[in-house]
Amino acid sequence: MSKKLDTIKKFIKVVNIALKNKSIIIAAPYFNNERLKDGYYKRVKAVDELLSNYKKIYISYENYSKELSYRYPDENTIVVDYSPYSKKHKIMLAFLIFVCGKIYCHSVWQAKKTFYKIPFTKVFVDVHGVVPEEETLYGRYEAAQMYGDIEEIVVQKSACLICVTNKIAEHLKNKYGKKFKSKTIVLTIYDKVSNGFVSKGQAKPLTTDNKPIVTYAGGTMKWQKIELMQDAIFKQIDWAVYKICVPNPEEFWRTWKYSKDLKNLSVESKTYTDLCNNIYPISHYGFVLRDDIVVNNVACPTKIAEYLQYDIIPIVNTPNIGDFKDLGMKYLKLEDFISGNFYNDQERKQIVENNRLVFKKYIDMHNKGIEDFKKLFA
Amino acid sequence: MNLKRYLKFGKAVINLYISRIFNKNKKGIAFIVNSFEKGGVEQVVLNLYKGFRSKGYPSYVVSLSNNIGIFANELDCPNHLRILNYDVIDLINYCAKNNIRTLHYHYATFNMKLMKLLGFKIFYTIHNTYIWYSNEDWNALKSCLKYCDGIIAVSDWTKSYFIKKTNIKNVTTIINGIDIKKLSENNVSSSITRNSLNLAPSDKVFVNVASITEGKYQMCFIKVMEEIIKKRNDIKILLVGNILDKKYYKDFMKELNKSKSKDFIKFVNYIPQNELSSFLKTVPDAFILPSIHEAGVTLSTIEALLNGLPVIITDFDIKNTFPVSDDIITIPTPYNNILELTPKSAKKLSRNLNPINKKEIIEKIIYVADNSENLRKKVEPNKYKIFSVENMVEQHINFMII
Repeated sequence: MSKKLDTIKKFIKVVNIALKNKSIIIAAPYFNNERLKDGYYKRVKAVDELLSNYKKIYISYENYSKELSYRYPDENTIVVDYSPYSKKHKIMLAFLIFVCGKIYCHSVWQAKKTFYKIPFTKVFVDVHGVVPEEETLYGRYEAAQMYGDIEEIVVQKSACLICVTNKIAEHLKNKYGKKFKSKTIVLTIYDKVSNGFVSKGQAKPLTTDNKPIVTYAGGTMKWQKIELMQDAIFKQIDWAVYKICVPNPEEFWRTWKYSKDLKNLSVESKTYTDLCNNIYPISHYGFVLRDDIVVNNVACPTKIAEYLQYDIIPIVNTPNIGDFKDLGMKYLKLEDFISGNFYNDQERKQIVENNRLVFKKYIDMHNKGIEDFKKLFA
Repeated sequence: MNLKRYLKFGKAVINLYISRIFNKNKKGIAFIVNSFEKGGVEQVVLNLYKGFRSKGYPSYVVSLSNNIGIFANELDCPNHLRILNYDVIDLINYCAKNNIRTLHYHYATFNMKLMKLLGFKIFYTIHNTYIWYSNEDWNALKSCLKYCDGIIAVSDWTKSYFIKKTNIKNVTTIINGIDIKKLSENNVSSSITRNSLNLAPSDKVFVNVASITEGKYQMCFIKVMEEIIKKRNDIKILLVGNILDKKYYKDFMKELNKSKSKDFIKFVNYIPQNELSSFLKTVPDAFILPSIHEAGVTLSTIEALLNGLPVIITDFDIKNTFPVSDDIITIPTPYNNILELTPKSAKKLSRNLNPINKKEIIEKIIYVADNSENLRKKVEPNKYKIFSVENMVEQHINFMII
């Protein structure tokens, strides 16, 4: 009996906090330092910081038990762990959402049709990517259908969609046509705090043997086209010095088909700070290879923004990634790289100057997005 | 159905009729299949889906089961595929949402009567000679097809078989099309050459492009070649295809390894799709497919003709199916009456090393071998462009009048 009372008391405490303060439910797992290596959690944290004027109640079903459990990471945040199989938990959470009047879902993955049935509740959805298309890409067709059904409701009934790129907003509008009724704002991804680098506009020197430095900083997942990059590197192994920074160098070497004894190629694991301090400032080109499919066309890989910030010319097999092409980004096509059609010094300088302007536009877009976001949640 | 389901069903039907009144979008068509993995029927459905869409008709694929494969990735949008898990209420709701008014069934007959009663136009395509059907199966199919607005057969051979089995005469033939544009785009030079296969320039090479499976009857080549090599050693058979039936492959290899013809029948390792055209143009002299039963014209036969190869194929009513057939050399079926063929007898036949048509197969191979150059010159690939997907789609649209 006392256990039940205790459970009720804890719940009432959270409801009281929600009632007495400007509060918002956030449907997403809470972030921690380890998770912040992942782009999804960086986004969750970025939005969390923008909602500093709210009491934030995260709801997550990652670690659940028979009763709702609560964590208090800081004075403005509560994390509620619930069981997705418990009707009781769902009813309690629905009440909590009703009390807050606002729920912010990080991606269609976290949105539920039932959120839209809670009276007087505004549902906001952060559109990180195109979930049904991603699920289809990975062969999870039933999941694609389930999230497709949810997405169709999201675009019709959400108070606002917060999109990571213009391209995502366009894609959804084209996909749903007249059914698309939600307001949209575009809030791009840019981590200003951890990296405040500003280019001084000076040309980067080549290496002592007159070679440019080509970098790659990222994972070794199949969709990052590592093998395609490896083939390109080998074809032009003598043209540049290659600094490949991956979390696990063994994974890189596992798919490397050629001799490992190459003085122009280094493969290491680097921290983000190391990348920003030692690799990016000296690199002239950077690989970002993606298939030309909708999942990538609407995405916002932070890597490209970082490359532009550090005057690194992207080497791409398709420039149709996010909004960068529309912003005027210039790049080196992979096919030109492979066939040796490189830029001369003058061309490289012009491209870098152009891309500095593109980066500025990107930051302006980001800042506008923040303004729009703040107005939305004022 | 329990009460809750009945209520949901009622709600779905009301929703369907309301949507028909207020939905101003163009009427759509859904292609209904049992599954949407990789296969011949699924390829046809995918081609129809794309073809209808390209002509401005909203089209969708509905899979009764959740056996979904790579073809799903080729749809324009994930929500153009509906995985029903045999839920008729979901089907009704999906049709209501997308203003689907026509249902085109392929093999499946899921709730055909109900959907007809709900006001849908219903079409059914017969994709093959259903030799595995029992009398009960045929009766069940007949009772469903009463509700069809139209029945399509993929060949006159299939149509004729169907009519004999069901006495339903109102059947239209629309031959399956091939993506000729994709074929001409797939022109990467083949890495496989005569040299790499140890074939002499003077060899007469016959290619069999087909999955290794009972219906394609690769077993017949063993004794056929044993007879041929008694008189000449310049004729070779290349088998290009994935091993669909591992048991059949094992039995085939067991016989082949015992036979003198083993050096004259070669397996070719995987050929990438985009190299197939180049391979067909440069390596073989002719195409051969002595199948036990087919729906009619196989896509691989048309591919061979489009790449300038004369073909030797089983006579599945070829003269009626192929409007032009000068380049097609036929062999009789390895049985006397298709109506007597059952899965059991077909299985037994597929392992028969001495079929009743062995003599004719040998004669035709030798004929083509001795006249391959002239025959190749006579093949006009452009004649076979009528077997395009575009043509197939056009015929479907005209027949269905969406």
